[in-house]
Amino acid sequence: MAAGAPVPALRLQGVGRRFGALQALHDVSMEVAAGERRAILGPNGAGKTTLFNVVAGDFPPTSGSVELFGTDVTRLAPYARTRLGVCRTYQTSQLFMGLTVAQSLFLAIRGASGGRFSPLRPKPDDRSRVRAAEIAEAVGLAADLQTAVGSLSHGQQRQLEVGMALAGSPRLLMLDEPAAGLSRAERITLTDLIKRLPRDITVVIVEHDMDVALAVADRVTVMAEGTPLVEGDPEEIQSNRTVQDIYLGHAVGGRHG
Amino acid sequence: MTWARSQQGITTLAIVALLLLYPQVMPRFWVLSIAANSMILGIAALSLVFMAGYGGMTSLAQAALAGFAAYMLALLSLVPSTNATGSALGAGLPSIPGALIAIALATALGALFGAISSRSYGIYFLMLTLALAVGFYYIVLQNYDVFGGHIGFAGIEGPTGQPREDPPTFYYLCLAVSAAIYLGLRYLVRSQLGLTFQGMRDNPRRMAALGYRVGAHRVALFGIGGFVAGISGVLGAWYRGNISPGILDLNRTIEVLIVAVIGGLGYPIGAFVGAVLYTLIKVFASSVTIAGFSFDERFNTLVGLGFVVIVLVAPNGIVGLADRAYRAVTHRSGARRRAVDPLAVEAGLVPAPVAQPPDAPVIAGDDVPTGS
Amino acid sequence: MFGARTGRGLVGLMFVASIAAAACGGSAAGDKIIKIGGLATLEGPFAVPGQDGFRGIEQALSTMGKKLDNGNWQFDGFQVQLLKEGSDATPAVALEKAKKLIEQNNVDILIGPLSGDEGLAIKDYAKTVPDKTFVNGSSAAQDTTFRAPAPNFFRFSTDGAQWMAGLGKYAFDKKGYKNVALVAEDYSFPYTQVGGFMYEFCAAGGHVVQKNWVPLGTKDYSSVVSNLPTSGIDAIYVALGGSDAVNFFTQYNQAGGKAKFIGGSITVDQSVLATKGAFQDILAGTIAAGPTADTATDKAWLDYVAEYHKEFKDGLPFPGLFALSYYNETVGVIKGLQAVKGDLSGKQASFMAALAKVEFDGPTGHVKLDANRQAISSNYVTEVQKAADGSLQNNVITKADNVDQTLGLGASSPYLAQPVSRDFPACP
Repeated sequence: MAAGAPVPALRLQGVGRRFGALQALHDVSMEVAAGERRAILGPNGAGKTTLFNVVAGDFPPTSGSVELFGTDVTRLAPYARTRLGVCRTYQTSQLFMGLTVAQSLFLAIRGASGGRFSPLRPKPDDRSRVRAAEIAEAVGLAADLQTAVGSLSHGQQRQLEVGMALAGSPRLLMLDEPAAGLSRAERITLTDLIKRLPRDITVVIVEHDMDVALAVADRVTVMAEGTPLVEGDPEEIQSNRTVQDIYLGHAVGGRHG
Repeated sequence: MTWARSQQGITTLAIVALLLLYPQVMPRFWVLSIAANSMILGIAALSLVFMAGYGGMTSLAQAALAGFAAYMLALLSLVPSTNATGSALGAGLPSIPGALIAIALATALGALFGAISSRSYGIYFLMLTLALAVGFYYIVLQNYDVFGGHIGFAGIEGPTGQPREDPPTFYYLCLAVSAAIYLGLRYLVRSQLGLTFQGMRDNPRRMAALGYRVGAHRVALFGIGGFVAGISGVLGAWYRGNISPGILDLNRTIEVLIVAVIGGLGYPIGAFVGAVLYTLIKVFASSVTIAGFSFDERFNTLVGLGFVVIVLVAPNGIVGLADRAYRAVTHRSGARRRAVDPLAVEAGLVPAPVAQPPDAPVIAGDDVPTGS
Repeated sequence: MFGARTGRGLVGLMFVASIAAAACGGSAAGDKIIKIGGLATLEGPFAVPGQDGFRGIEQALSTMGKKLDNGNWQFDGFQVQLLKEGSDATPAVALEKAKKLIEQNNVDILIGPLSGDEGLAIKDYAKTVPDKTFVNGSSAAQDTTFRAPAPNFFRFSTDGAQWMAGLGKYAFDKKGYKNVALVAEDYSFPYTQVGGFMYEFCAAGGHVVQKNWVPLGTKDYSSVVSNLPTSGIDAIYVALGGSDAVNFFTQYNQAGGKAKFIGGSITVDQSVLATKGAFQDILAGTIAAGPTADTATDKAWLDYVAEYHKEFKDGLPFPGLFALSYYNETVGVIKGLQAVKGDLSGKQASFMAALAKVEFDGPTGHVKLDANRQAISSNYVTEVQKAADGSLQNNVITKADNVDQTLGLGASSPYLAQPVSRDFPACP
């Protein structure tokens, strides 16, 4: 396991993010321990995706600091954070529609491992290509290695999303609604996949599907209006009155988009 | 498969043989003014096709980069005061080293343009590159000390001498260079770097999240664009023997864009097909008489009409049209026409699409429901 | 890969090419056909002058020969076929088009181009095709014929310096201008015009105290206007054309400028005078010079204008210097062809020899060639005056005949020691 010193995988201190008049995040402080599986729940507009974007570096916080594995990354560009071991998926698939599955995974592997400017073609036995095939196998796309991403089904595209995040050899894996739009069978496969991830990977997952979220999470943070409201283990959260009011009520009412 | 492959091999061989035989049987005008000219224009358009088709960067600065290389070549290779314009400038280098340095400088300027525009996308990138091109044109036009003002420089000679003295040799030079660039870029698109460009084209945000410095790669791609455009500029300077700001004005910028579009922005070979077509239309439009109406004084109307028709009939360019027709024939149905990016197929990146069974829950790429 | 469809595309191309070939082939029985290529500017800022240039060619052919149903012109013993090409005023395109006419269409004689830089490029090209005859269009750069001339390049029109003949002297002697500043477009034609003006003006004792060169097509003259001296100058020499001139005059007037003007040959033509605007008030009294004058009253000129209007219903109010230049070139060519009865054998040697000796009385005066095959002809000095109805018009002040390329200074004059340029001649 990780070293004796309790360096958290992710530490946020007083993080705020403002878009014009909108305070999307407000004084967010949280720690995710190395190896932990953390689910973040909350109604639409709670700031979950904004939180992911701040951690991944898509934009800096307007206040507070972000630490990854003990390093302050508040001002670091996204690619540099990725090289520290942060990999993420997106709520809306962000894929390469003109490439194949194999090429997408290859790019994801090389992005974290170097050789990014090589003008040479990878040989068939190139390590990254072999690894790409392994990852495709792991996310259930082994048969579609040479398929163009644009012709994958929606469910397959979500699987590729996860695969590309895994391909970066993450130490911190952030999954943004990985189960959105998946069939029931596909959700079960996905849940299994996340559960089987080695414990040296820390996982933060935003998920609307409570079954998925609670099946994989060790701890759960519930956010509302840009700030964490409650934190606890899944049982505590399920029985928490406040949570049921502010979140589950909304969820039953249906979400849009 | 073997039959198809051998057929393809025979076609390729026949084309190569025709290209090699061409200058031996055709008159000088067809060798130089049509063929060599088309190849030079085609290389410039190829630089745009590569940047736009594989990196999503539709640069309007390619004619300016080609012109820059031509000016650098003149400054490097002219012998002071003995040249035709009597310019006191010129480093007097032999033509080949001069050309290599000129191309290297064009590559560097391309990279600089890339650095300036690396954070701009879409229409802003287009406008920024246009502004750089026009700005450079005015610098060249008005600077007499270095660029020779509106007169430019004359007396530039390539390694094959005056093209008109020995048209076939100059033709073969252009052909060899065109083939080398074309094959080189085709190799590059399947390399790590080429895939990176395509990832950038499809989704720069994801590329950044995967650990790529998108800005640096855009600089690199613009550098490659400058390199290819620079080669076109050097050949063009050798071809004309003289250079003036007219070789990089707005007309030339538009010309490169038109050639790339009518050939097909997603197809490297389209740059050359488009260039040949453009040159022929441009040269012969004034000789066309339709229903007794001569276009000799209105040839631009005909040229313009021709391009409108091409863009309407073949929005993906002539090669795009051919590609679609080819696939419609080989796969009988055009059922999944849009499933695969055609340029990926062309480049051999992706096998031609295979129709999925009708019961598969297919959601085509464009129709993926997007979250809020 | 794309054999089928690309093949069809190629067939299409061949079709276009064959149309071209057919158009070039011609077909006539009997008399031999002489192919003349016409090259003028049909794109960009000189498109309208280019069309007028072609009118000049056609008018000369129709006046001297008989137009046939097949589009050719019949002369005694030969027919002339005209093939037209248009450029965009850049040397590169003019050169491509000239090559196409000479190498692809196999014309015997090329008439063109229209503008100065194009002319220099065509002259250099002419040297590489010694067995074809090149006759200028209206391009007026001095060095097209003055320095390193091509033995097969002929110019029956006068150059931009000759177009200034009489102006420098008139400005100094009659108008009393001693010090002038100048504003001119930055390319070879205005250099030549400025040179021609300065030959006489500097030789008479005048001073050009400041030169402002602006790019062709400049719209904003504010920096030029503010740079012009407000005192110590008697007039401003302006060599700008068309909209450039209108823009400059407008902005100079708005800035409260009061200086008198001296114009180049295309600075105060009808298109500028007819443009409405407050700047018109400051134009009265502007002197200029050129090879044509709308209000000339010579019979030859009036006949020429009448024919022009008869032939071209869509023509300009007056045939300009572009039409006149192309007209005179074509007259020269036909006279040369008539002298050899259309015989171009012997690499056109006897035709070229005959062409060099051609002399004729053109619409504006006598035309003959010097040893460099450059026209010696007439020139007008004009002044902008208010007509009775308040409109502005150019009235003829003087006309000089037999103006040669040195404006009478002689080829050894120090003013002609160097090619005209931004810095030469100089008399600050």
